[in-house]
Amino acid sequence: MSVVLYRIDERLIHGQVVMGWGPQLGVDHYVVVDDELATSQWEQDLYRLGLPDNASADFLTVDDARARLTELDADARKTVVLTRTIVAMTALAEGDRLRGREVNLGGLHHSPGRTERVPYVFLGQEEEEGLQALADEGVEVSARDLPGSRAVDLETLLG
Amino acid sequence: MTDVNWTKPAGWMASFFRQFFIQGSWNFRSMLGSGFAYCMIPLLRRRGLSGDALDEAVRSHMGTFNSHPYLVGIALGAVARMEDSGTDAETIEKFKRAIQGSLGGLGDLLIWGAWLPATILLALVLAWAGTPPWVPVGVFLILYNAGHLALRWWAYSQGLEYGKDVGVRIRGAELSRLAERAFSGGGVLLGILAGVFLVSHLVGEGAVVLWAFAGFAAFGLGLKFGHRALRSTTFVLVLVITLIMALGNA
Amino acid sequence: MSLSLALLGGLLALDATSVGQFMFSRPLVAGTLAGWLLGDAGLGLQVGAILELFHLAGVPAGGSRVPESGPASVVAVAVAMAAAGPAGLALGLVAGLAVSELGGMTVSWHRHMVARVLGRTDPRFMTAGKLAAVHISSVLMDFVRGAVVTAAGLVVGGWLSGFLASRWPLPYETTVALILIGASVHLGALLRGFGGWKNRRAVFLVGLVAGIVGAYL
Repeated sequence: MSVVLYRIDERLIHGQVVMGWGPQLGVDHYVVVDDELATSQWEQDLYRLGLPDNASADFLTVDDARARLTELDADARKTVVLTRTIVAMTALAEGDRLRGREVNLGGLHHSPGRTERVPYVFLGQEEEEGLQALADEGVEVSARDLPGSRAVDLETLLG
Repeated sequence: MTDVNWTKPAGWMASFFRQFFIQGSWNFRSMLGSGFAYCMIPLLRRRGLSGDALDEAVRSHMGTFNSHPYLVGIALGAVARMEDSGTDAETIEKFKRAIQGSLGGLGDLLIWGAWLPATILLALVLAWAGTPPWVPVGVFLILYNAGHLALRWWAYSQGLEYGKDVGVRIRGAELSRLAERAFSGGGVLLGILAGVFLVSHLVGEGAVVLWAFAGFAAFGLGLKFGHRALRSTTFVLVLVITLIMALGNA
Repeated sequence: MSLSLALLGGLLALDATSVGQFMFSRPLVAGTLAGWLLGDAGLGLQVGAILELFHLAGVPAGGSRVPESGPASVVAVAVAMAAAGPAGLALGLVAGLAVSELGGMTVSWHRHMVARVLGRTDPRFMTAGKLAAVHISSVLMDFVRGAVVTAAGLVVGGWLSGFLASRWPLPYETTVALILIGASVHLGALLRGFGGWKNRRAVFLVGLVAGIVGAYL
């Protein structure tokens, strides 16, 4: 059918994604965009462990994913595109690829220099600038961990 | 990896015991990170670490981590095994990062999504069948925890046995199929409960059609909107009860 | 009696997250335990089972948002017993839902507080001893939190039910029917969680027929 969700989440494939969003959106395919993971089979095996029976996952480099976005949108499967970082999502969005689409911020966790914005999103200066750059690509950015919870818009996150 | 002569590291039992407390310092900063390190302490101590060396080892395990509490043994066991066979810290870090989401997802699916509601539904059916109070409560606690404890033990054993290879050695799909069975069983029990409610409580004298219709409508609402419908309808129910109270005769 | 109920609430709060997760904290179990302490396990089970219906579909995916069902059940049963009859069921349910929601907020506070405590220690100076101290005091704090939530719920719930109980105009059957209609939304959501109408239609309908026949007999 198409890509039904773009999400930035450091945990990539995990409970909130496969249990929360998956059934709600009828997802049957996950695309993880990460240069490092795309070449690491043993790590991919660990991520795939959490997939439900009826879902599959591909691990692509940013370049591969950029080339295949249109194809994924035309695909019969309902796909969730996941990145670990804001930078990777911005690279996907460059050149109006995601103009007008929503990007969901689902989990950026604590690390030195980051402060809490909502319990599941911690941002530092680097991340703030990254989100602004993503928004400048015409993407609508908001934070929401689960489909049942309230979306927090970019202004509130940066404010 | 699976050399025949390998034996479980000293302190593995103490670490297993600590897994029942692993969520004790669950927090929004590192989630299970501190609890994970807390569970590693007996293993590190029994490896002969103390003083600064112990503290440094503990620090290395404190990074952000999350998992389902029953399945965390897969990660703890595997990390114990990897450290025992001299795997480098960077690989262990990557391992923890990659497996945490899967353990959380599988646990949510199998336990919070399937096993818990299915066993609770069984207890609810027994409760509505009019058994004495200790029967539904006892059946639930024994049945649920038999599965719970078996899963904890299995998870830890698998982690200890397979270490880094645990991702290919255990089949997530098999756990999904277990969940599938619990979903089907739970579906039957859910039907029984709905039938009992319909006959025993919603179809009585008086405005029969109205009550039954409202019940069907409410069920359909939940079926269609899922979790999104829960908070608002619960709020409406509380409001209705409050209003009835306000209008009631003093 | 209030003291032992508060202590029970503290222990049940621990079971939900910090220690064990044996599910003593589920309303069905917690309610029956509270009822047994108060001398009426049957009423405890009844109130616990009703409150359980409203907690059954809320999956705590990824550890986010845990409603505080243990202390909530203790308060619900105490209120139901004080108010008695259909008024007790209605008031007990409202009290249970309110404590569950507000108690869940204190769970969040607790998790923020532990985060702050861990954040105060420079990671370079964290030691095994300090970690164990933080971990164990966090568990103790969680127990105190649960006990305080329970005690507060008992005080407020007892006070409110004192003058609200006599205002409940509906008979027993109508009260139960009203509550079960609210619960039906949760049952529907649970069937969705089990795989939805398309996948579980058959098993659900088999159960439904069995339930209808069983209830008539």
